[in-house]
Amino acid sequence: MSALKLQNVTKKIGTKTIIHQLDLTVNAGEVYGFLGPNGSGKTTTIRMMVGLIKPTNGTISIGGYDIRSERAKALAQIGTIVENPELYSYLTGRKNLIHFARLAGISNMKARIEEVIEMVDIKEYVDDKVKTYSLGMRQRLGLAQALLGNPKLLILDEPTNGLDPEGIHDFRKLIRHLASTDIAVFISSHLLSEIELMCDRVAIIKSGKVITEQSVTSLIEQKTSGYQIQLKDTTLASSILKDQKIPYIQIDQQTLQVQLDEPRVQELIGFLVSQNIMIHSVQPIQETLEDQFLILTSDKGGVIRA
Amino acid sequence: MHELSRVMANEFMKLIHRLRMWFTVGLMLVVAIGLSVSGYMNYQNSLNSYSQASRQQVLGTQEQNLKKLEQELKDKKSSRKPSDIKKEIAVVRADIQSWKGLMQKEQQIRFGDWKTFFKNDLQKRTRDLKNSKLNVASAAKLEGKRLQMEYQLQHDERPLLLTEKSSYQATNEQMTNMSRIFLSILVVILVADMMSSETTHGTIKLLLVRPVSRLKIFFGKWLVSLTITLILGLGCFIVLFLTNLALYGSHGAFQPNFLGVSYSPMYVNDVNPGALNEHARLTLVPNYEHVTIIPDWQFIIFKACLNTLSMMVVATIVFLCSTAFRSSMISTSASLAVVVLGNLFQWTGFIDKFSKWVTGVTSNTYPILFTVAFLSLFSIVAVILASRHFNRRDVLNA
Ligand SMILES: Nc1ncnc2c1ncn2[C@@H]1O[C@H](COP(=O)(O)OP(=O)(O)OP(=O)(O)O)[C@@H](O)[C@H]1O
Ligand SMILES: [Mg+2]
Repeated sequence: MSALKLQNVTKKIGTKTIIHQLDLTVNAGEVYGFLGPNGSGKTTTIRMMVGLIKPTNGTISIGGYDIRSERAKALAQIGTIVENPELYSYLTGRKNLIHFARLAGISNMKARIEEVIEMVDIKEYVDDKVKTYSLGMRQRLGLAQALLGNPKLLILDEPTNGLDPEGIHDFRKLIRHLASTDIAVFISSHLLSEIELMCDRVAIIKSGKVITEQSVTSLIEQKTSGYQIQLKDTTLASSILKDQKIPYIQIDQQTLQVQLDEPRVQELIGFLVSQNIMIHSVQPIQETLEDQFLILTSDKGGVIRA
Repeated sequence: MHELSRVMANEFMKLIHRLRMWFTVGLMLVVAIGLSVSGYMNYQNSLNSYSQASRQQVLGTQEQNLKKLEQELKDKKSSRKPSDIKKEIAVVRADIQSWKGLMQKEQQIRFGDWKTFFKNDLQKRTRDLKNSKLNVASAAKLEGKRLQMEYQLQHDERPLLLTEKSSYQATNEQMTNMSRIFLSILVVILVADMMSSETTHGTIKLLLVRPVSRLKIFFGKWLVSLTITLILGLGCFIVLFLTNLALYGSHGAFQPNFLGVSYSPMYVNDVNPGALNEHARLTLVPNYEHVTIIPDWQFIIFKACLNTLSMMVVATIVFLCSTAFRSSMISTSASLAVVVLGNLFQWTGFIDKFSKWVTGVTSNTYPILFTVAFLSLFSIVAVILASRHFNRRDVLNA
């Protein structure tokens, strides 16, 4: 049985459709990445999965339990952070954990709290008030509360936000370790590079629709070729690309990158030359997952790469 | 049930770790103790004017006045008409008479055989009451006094003089002052962000993704709001009473007090009873028909309980505001507005207005049990409707 299953999930707020007929499945022991730019609907999807909002249409089941009709059983399977880990700032970290442990209804509260404190390594400051914590410290405490109830499915919304490199490294290790104990993990992010290293599968969402879902290995192996075109000045060329609805990435003032096959690139070059645009060079390149993500999620080109 | 108690344990934990909780308790202590101490100081000041010496002094001045006036009457050279002077002499004489009467009565009650004195007085009053020339207001006043005296005789309770104010009387007065607005504001401070602080700070997301139903979270928070109001309300009255007890002493516990006096507005004519002419004025006239007389100590307990109950109704309304508005600031201001507008929700006032809306007439004859039952029902229905809404709503902007 799948740890998480969304079928035909749609969410409308007012007249605006925010999520369009989403289908996805996460299996036990799998780390599933949910990628999308700002405002694409990641958090909205997660809110539906954890029962904070109701889907307008479709069903969501967790470990076989429907989130609407068997809410308590479904929620007993998950641990989650939705958006920022907002905890009670006037309580200590430990009191926060006690608070959520009571609601999780676990039998051996004290021991379990000690266990999760160990797992996310917050022993040093767990007895300080949360208002004194940094973002990364809060993020760790958030992870600790998510782990409290021995969840079979972890749903984490941009969990690496605010973690330092060491923190990210520890986090990845922890996630991989949890997955090896058959826990399913659903992670949303807008940073592909972070997901790449810990996920088994990745879905890319844009404007509320999943535009691709692939295993990370196949994504990396695909290595779709693209071309970098060096020009004297990119202004004119980029407006032509926009007109022709060809996705591109602006690498710098002189360089544009397109994802086209060879014949179409030749066609494009021919056209640009006919428009009296100076072209210095055209080079085939090996695209990274990051580039693909940017191209897939960009609005008809025009993404500026930092 | 187990889950509900865990939710409540959580809410208490959060409450006692918040500054506003201790701020509220501190404020309550300062105001309760301050109110009774300042009341006691006022009382001490007024004692001077009640004292035997100051009464003697007043009597002395009046007697001197009388002498002067009599002199003036004999003196033929006076500029005033003799008839005017005679009128004034009559007024001063009556005044002296009543002062002497009062002092004598106090002496009689304090040191003499107050019972015989009272029995005679009671007979006189009963006779007066039959006298049809009294207007309704005076008759009602007399009836009240008569009932009180009967009780005192029956229970062998010597009436207290003005100089013998009891801690029960003081507590009774101050309780009314406190519960009007101050306690309601404390309830607002404590309860107004019970739910809205969770939405404002976003903690509601982590709260509602637990395998505990939203209804239990809602009712747990409501019950904690009620409990804390109960503790605060009763605590406040206890502090008030203990301070008064320390200041005034323990006498007066068994003095009579009325329960269930109803007041109706009536036209009262001081000159010609019963006539509806230019001398008639509208006043609230007490009606002692359905009255129960209980000792003061019972009365203040009863009053404390009723006041606390009405605080709990306020707490319920404030809690509903807290659920309806997602921002702490808005829910607090809304609650304050409700409370300030809402002497409306004082149990007597509210029921009165309500019956006026429904029937178009004012009537004060609703028994207390009805009032309590009505307010409880009102709160419970409101809470159930709100809980259903809370159970269904999307948590989007938190
Ligand atoms: N309360 C709301 N009312 C109307 N529209 C909303 C509401 N909340 C979110 N939206 C819309 O839903 C869309 C998806 O928002 P969501 O928060 O799910 O994005 P996200 O993928 O989590 O973005 P981010 O990476 O910035 O966290 C956005 O276009 C947003 O404008
Ligand atoms: Mg988001």
